Amino acid sequence: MPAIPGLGKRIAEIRDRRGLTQKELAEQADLSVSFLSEVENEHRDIGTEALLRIAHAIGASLDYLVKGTEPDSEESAKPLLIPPSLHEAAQQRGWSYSVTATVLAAQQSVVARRTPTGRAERPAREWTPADWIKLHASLRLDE
Amino acid sequence: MSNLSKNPEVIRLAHLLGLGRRGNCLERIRKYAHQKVQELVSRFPIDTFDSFLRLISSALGVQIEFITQDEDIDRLAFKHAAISPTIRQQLVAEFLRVDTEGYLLQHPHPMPGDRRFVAFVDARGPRSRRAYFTAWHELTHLLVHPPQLALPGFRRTVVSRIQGDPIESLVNVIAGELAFYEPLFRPILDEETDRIGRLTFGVIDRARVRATPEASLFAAAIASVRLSRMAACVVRVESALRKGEVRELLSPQLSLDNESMTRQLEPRLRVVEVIPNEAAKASSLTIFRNMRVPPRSVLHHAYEAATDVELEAPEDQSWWETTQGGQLPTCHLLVQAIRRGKYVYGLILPGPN
Repeated sequence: MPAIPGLGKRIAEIRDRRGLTQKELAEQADLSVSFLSEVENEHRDIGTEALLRIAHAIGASLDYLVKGTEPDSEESAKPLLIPPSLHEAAQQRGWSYSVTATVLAAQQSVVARRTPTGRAERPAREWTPADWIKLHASLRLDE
Repeated sequence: MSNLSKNPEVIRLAHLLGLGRRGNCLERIRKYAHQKVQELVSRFPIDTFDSFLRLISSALGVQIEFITQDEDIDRLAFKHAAISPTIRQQLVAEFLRVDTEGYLLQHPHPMPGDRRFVAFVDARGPRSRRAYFTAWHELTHLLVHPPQLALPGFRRTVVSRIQGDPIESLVNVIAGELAFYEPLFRPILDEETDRIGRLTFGVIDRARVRATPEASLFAAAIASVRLSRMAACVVRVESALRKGEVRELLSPQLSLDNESMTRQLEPRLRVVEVIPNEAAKASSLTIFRNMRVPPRSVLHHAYEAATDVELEAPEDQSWWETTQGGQLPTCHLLVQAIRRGKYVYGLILPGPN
């Protein structure tokens, strides 16, 4: 693989953020500490296998490690919008704003779920107040 | 499969992916997924399934976390606390109270370099056999996710609890192909097949262990049959009612004559899954789903066995009856049956004349 400018710096940055030492990351990625050190200091090129092991061990996206940019990073700046059906459920049950926001955050974090029969949650219909109440109950926020 | 290509939801997905609405949409979505994978593999050459899974997951920004014991939930909730303040409750609800296999969450505020998704996969006990496939299922969901729907407002989501969901079926087809990615799996399968001269469960299992030992034997058998150039068909059999009998059982009429109905409805050993390859579809091998397994077939003997067994025998397709009671045309078969725990699988090949 050709040399990737800035790769070593980005690996070190995310490793630091995860609170890992070079030794710990090297162990997790099954690489030698000297090899990792040379890669981080950009004294050495890296092959696909080692790059993927490091990316996996530090939970980093390949896009960022290779290009230094992320797609769609502006998405996270959106304001919180409470859907009308959640508003209705919150009114029915007397949920506080923070409880309502917590339920919304839990629901928005779900992309898909899979069960033994292959059933899954995915964007198919609008949520009803009953759906929100069920989710709230499953989270046991009152306990 | 052909019905799936005409399903409105599959057609809509093809349209949203910019693949048009006409023709075989399933095939176009499959090609789209494989093309994306191929582009990645050409940039980052890999030669093992471990690397392949790491490549696709890191490229899609997905961290896969396997839950191998209940105690993992606390550790993973702590590790991914930034995803949601209720992450622990969510994981407990999904994996300790509900029978969820895979749970894909989106990170709301990822730091630069963080993966945007975490796929939690149940790999506890007997689920460990399916965990590898479940991980590929979750990845495939993102691989064929239309970019214009990749906004929080569309990701929220909701629930379609319908068995046989077309998008889930489509995702399963592609996930099955990626879990046994042909450029990596075929050379191993061919090498093992050449040693014996034909496909057997032994060949499939050796190829599975060499290529991707986390995968289940049944998933490996489906992939091997798909890749085999010779006609072959893999089946799973279990005691079941006919479709019509299930309808009768669920009918409100049953309550009027409960005793006589329940007396008649007796589950029989039937083919509950059947996956023929293209060569088998073009041949006279014509075993269908829901067909009753002939009592003299090795599939029946394997089902009745008290322990794990592997049996093989030459049989004839004319032993099989259609649901209407008609006989299938004569065709010499070589049938292998294998029992693993409560599951019985069959590998059916055209036999010598």
